[in-house]
Amino acid sequence: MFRMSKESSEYWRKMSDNPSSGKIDTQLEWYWLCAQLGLLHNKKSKDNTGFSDVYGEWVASLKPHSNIILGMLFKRYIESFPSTAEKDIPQYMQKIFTHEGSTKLTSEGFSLLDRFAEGGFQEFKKKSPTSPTKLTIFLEKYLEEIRRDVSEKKATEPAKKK
Amino acid sequence: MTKLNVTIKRIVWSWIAEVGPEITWKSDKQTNLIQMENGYGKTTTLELLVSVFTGILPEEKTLRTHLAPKGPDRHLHNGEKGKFEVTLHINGEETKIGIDIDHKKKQASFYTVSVSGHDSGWKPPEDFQSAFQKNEALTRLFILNAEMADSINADLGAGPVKKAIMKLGNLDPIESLCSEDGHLDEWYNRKLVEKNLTGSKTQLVQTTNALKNSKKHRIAIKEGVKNLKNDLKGLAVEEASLQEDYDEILKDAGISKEVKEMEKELKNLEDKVKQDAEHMLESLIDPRSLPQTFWEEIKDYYASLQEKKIPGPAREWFIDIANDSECICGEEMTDKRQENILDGVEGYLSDETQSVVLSIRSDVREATRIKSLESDNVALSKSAGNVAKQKTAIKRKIKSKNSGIDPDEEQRIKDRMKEIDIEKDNANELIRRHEEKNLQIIKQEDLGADAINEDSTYAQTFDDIETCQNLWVIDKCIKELEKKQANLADIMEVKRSVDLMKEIIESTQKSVVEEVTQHTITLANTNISRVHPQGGVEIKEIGDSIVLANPTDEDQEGANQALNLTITYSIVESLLSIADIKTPMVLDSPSNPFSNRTARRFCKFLEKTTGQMILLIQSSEKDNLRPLWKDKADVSRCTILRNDETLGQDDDFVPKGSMMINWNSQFFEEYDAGTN
Repeated sequence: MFRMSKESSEYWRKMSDNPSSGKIDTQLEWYWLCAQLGLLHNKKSKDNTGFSDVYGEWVASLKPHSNIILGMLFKRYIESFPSTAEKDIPQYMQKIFTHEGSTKLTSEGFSLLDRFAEGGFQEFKKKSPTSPTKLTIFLEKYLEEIRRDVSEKKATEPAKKK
Repeated sequence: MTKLNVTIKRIVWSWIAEVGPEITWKSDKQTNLIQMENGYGKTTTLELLVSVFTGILPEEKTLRTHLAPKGPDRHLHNGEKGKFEVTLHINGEETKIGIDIDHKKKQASFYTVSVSGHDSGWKPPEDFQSAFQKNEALTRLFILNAEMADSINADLGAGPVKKAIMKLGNLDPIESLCSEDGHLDEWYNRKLVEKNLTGSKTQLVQTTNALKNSKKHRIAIKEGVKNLKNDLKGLAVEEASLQEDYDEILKDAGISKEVKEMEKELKNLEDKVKQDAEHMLESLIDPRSLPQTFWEEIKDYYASLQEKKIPGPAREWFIDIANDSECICGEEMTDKRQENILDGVEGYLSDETQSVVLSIRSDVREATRIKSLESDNVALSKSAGNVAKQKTAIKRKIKSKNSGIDPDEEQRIKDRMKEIDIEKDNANELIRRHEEKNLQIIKQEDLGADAINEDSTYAQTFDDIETCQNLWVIDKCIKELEKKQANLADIMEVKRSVDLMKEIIESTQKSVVEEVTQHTITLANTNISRVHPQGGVEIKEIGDSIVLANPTDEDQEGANQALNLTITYSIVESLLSIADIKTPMVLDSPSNPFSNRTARRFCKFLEKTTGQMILLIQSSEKDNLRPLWKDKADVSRCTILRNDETLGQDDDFVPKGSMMINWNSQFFEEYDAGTN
């Protein structure tokens, strides 16, 4: 079961109050947009204690991307260990992935993605402390957050020699 | 002809309590006196007779404390078998029922010898079984410890009498059908469990209430939806009216047509912005729209996994190899090789998980990053900018006309129209949430709240159903409740039928028992009147215990006990006579505390009884009971004594066939004192 903090749920609800300018239809889509930012910036919360259930399956709009999402999640997971012997990787895979259930996530896998979703939400909230009133405003700020990754990286890369 | 006529013809004891090698008592007489001193085994004999009649074996504790051999050579015989065997004449046919006792194992078992031969187990003829099997209450009324008669009478109320009647009348199966937790209850409870309807009465009340409240809840929501739809109609009318007012104002100002066109363009722009925003959102949800650098990292990582052949073969592959008779190296598969292979398999993925991982690896590797959203964003910003510009242009246009439009009125109309838009959106959204029928959407948006359980079943309590505002889910809950209510109503109908059946059977049974009990009292009073011809003592009723009219005020020693014995036996004799059954009467120390006068009166009663009588008496009782045996030919007398005792000098009491138990008195005095 995907789970989300109450604060993040409320943020999404307020943003959906003005549907005439378009809205994020489902809570799980909001969850993923946050998780995407969390995975991109490698930000996750300490745990998912006190989070509420969102949904137990991928919604239709996310289902086609589920394998890629799982792939990104596992990469971040394996990076969280200082060094990992190649022979141990399958055992780490077993902790996150399972053939049971439509999401292919173990409870540890769910928990990890929940934490990235919360980490991403907190990052976004720094940029926009209150819920944007229009979808266009949200999209602009979200794109800025994605661009931030690129621009930050560019800023830290050494200048190429001419 | 009597339905069941039972007499005891022979009793054999060996290696039981104080009895050592086998001794045998036999008699064809109606009245029998067996004289044994205290401690020689009267009560033991009585108890073993109860076992023989009821088919209930002595308990392990009795075997250990009362029946184990006690004589001087007991140690030699502790491992031997003891035996108590009774030869019965049952309707003229001889049947032996014996109890073998294994003293070493502390176990006892029945055997039966009949015309068909020796058989293990308690297997007397069926008539005997149906009257006495497990019927200890009845049996103890005619194999009776006389000193206990008063307490037996105290307990001998309607319950035991009813039980005896039911047993003797072969009515047991009917009683077990309708008794509490009987066959009918058992059947009904099984049905409840099968249908998952235990506690059905409470459940029916709860379900009916939940259903009633849920239907009210549904009506309230439907009413709410109806109101919302009416509100929408009202808003549409109001909106049209406001539009007319606004058009009128613009017309008056002469700018109607121009502004209207601009507003139309604005609406188109807004729609386009909304459409573009939703399209961009769709793209943002796709992880392939993430920046190139990040994306390359991911792809590189999975490419490296593929190069390194991670996750490697599945666990099952190794298991198949290990289980093969030949190793992949071509040599024979040894235990050692097998162990080596299986040692490492836990580090590999199962077939199924490996297939999940390979599918992820492949999808990541093959995914192509979609084009940058930068241009989409620029276009979107431009559209949003155009919307803002258009709004400003319209304002400016209206202002430039300086047409005398009342700005407050114009603002009021615009504000209200904006409010109407929001109200319409809200109302439509609420209606959608109430009327949504797609279960996937209902689940995604949690529209079912607590009315949908975690296992996707529907709630059955109103507390949970009340949390839901979606009509489709509430309908589902109501259908489930109706189904449950129908099941419960069915089972309650069955319950009513079962109760009615039980009531009819119980009422019939009660009237039969009452009639037989009354008949028993009449017959018993006839017996009692023989002992108390002038006393007027009689049984008034059998309630919780026996209620006597005119109880005796005699205070002679033993008088009440004699009366008690008379009452007890009168009742049992009457019961048995109604059931057309004759049994022997066995009494233990019947006249022990009686005075001469009481004993003589008691003897008169005993003389009138028609069945076989076996009295286990102490030597001190023989004088009291003299009227019973003195100068009577049809009386068997016997003494069981120790081998150092003599029969005494009483010429009037010369027992025939007396038997010796082979221990001496001195041994048992020491045994009882604990020095032996």
